[in-house]
Amino acid sequence: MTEKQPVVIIVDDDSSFRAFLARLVGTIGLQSVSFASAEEFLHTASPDAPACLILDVQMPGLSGLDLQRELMRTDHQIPTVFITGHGDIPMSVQAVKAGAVGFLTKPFRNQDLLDAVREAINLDREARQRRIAVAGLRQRYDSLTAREREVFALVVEGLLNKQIAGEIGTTERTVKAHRHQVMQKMEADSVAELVRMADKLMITARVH
Amino acid sequence: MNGEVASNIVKPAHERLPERALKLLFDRSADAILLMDSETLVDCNQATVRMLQYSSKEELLSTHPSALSPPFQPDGRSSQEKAEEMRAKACERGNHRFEWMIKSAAGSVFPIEVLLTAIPLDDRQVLCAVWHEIADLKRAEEQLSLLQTISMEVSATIDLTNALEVVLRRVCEKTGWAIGQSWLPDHDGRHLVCSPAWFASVGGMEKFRISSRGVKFPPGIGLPGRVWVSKQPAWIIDVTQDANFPRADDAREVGLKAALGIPILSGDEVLSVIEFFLRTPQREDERLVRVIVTVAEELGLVIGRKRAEESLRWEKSFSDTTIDSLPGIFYHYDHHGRFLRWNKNFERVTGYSHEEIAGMHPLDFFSGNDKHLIAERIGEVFTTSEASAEAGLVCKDGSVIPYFFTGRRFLFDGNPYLVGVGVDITERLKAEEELRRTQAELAHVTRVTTMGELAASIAHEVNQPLGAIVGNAEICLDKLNDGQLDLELLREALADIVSDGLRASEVIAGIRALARKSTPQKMQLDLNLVIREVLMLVGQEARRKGIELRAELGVVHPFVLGDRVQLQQVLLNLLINGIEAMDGVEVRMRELRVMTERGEGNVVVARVRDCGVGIAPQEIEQIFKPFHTTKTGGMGMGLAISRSIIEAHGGRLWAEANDGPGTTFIFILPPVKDGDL
Repeated sequence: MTEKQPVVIIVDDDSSFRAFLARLVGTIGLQSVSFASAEEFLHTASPDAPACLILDVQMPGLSGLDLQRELMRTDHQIPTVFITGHGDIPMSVQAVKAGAVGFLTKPFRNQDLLDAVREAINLDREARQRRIAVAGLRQRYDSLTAREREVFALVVEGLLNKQIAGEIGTTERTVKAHRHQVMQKMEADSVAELVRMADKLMITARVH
Repeated sequence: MNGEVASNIVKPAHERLPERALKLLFDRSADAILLMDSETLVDCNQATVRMLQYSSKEELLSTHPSALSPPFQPDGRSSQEKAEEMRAKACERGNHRFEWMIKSAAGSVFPIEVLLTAIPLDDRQVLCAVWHEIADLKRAEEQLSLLQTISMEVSATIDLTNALEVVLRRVCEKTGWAIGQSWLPDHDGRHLVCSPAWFASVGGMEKFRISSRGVKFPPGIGLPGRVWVSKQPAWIIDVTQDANFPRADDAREVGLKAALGIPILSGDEVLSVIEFFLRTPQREDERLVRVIVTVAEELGLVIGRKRAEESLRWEKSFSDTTIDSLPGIFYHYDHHGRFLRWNKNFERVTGYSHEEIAGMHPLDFFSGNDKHLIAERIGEVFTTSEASAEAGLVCKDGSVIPYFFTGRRFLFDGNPYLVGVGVDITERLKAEEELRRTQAELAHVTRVTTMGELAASIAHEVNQPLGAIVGNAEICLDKLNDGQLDLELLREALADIVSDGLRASEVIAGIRALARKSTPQKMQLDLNLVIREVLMLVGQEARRKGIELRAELGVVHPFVLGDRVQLQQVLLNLLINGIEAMDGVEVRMRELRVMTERGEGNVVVARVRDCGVGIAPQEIEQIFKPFHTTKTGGMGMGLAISRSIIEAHGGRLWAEANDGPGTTFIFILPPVKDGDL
């Protein structure tokens, strides 16, 4: 699977500063898209690539912090680097709490911003990979029958075949066959791997 | 007709004319014919009854002949004595012609010509008198002489009381009436009171005099009150029988009966009412009334003239005093610029003597431009009746004092004149200068205070371009250090550095302009440009508060004549107020709009519209009052100063509530006219 080109999203109402930010991230070979306001950004679809948000804290309309909250609420969190003309401590605390990767006060060293942007993109890349992996597992899990999911849950709880048969009221042979199906469909080589998958999928056995 | 005819009438039985014709002749004769013996009146004709104003022939015939004459004749001799002499002359010569004063039933005395013929009748001597009224000319001559006497005497008198006394005495003497009194309106003009002027030709009148002195008459009451109201003579046949005569009891006691009241008028004003009384009841004697009315008219004229002279003297002395007591200078000159009158202050202030000023021209007191200005204003006074000017008054010692002059035209006998006053305005100018200075200082303080509120935002406003400059410069340096000469990128970055640097310096220039303390300087300004400069200063403040600033500058180059800093101050103030009005208020659209447009008469209209908390209608004028503030940290001077600035620019500033939320502040400024450029 080839990795998509990361994108830096710039939201700042000052056009000259936007131009500078775009130029700066361009120097390390990053692509960028610029928006003059938070609203403008919200009306656009998020790019399907590792991304980083450079956000001006103070803007007319929705402020940078408002935008960040909005993204969290809709579960579209993007690692964010905040930029402010005159940051105060409460403001930066609030931003970091909300998951800011960096909080820079103008004027700042270009390197500080680039470092923060790189870190943010890495974070997003990992998160994306995590999301992609989970999505694959979920797809496999979804191919299991209801009975197989029951068996899956009990297997990862560490129950023996015999115990499982007792739990679900069937024979040990039938449980064995289900168990084989689960291992195959989930593409798991061992029970240990199956347990890790269950962790990621956050599956627990439902004990009747 | 003459005495001959009359004598024929009484000739005995051998007469030629039938008796009936003779009787008619006797009765119809225009001359009065009387037959009398030494003691009684024997007969008379109708003309006699008319002339003497008796009610009937019988009444007349029952009167003693002596009652038909006043006690004395004009030469001073007693009528009785003189009558004897005339009778004797008639008997001696057959007839005798002479002038005589007779007295009518009404008491009036008038002259007649008498032809007295002695006629032997039976055994006694009868006298036939033919009375011929002396011609009107003679009467007029007599009246004239009376009037001349009275008016001469009156002119010589010093006051109204004196003059009244003369008239009362002369009239009583002439007519033989018993008493004459006069009445004057009191100080508030609501009553008539008895004046000290009176005259009695007979004794025993004191009681009536005292009672008259003790009363006062409102309009319409008593004889004086009636005359006062009607302004016409009034005659009472018998005051003791009159319903409107409050002094009737006292009159009865001293024996007064007939009365005459005459007004003395000056124009339409009743100066006095004079009254005369007779001791017998008497019907109205028109002739007497006419004579006294004429006398009264004469008196009215004389007194009116005296009063006019007096009031003229009073006016003169009053105006002299007034003019000299004026705090400023007074001047009065004709259209040639010849000084006719001025006050002492004029001499004192200018240092010129009376004689010097008399030979000077008004423009001699001015120099330079003021000379033209004053010449122009003097012309204005003579053409349009009024003008004023501020100019420096040049004194004899060369010093110049700032004065405010007024001039007003007045026409007299068709000639125009100028009167006016001048007031020293040194103090006023000083106070005005002081006020201007204080206002400028206050405006400066307010401006600096306002900017203090903005300090953080303005710092950011400068920081913004600085941040970009530093960053772009670093990019360039890195590229150069790396040897990666991406010329396109370097050019772009450097161009941005330049424009951001300019932007930062503009902001700083704006701040410096606002913080500068300078006297207002008016010049032609593009209001849109002024607005843009201010928007740059408040841009960050708006951004920080999450407010969108929108400029809708609809007029291309709305030129106004004004002081850039002051107008920026007004806009800054209105914009900050708008931002604060929206602070902390949950509104869907946090928007602050600045608009320019053209209004009626091509005026430039600027609006600053917020969607904030709004202002209660009853507060909308209050907010312009000094020290009215709704902010915790505010001085409350912003809008008061803004308004005074706009008004000093010949415009107006006010606030209106929006249809929706918020308030719009509007100011209008006059457009630049060609002459202003």
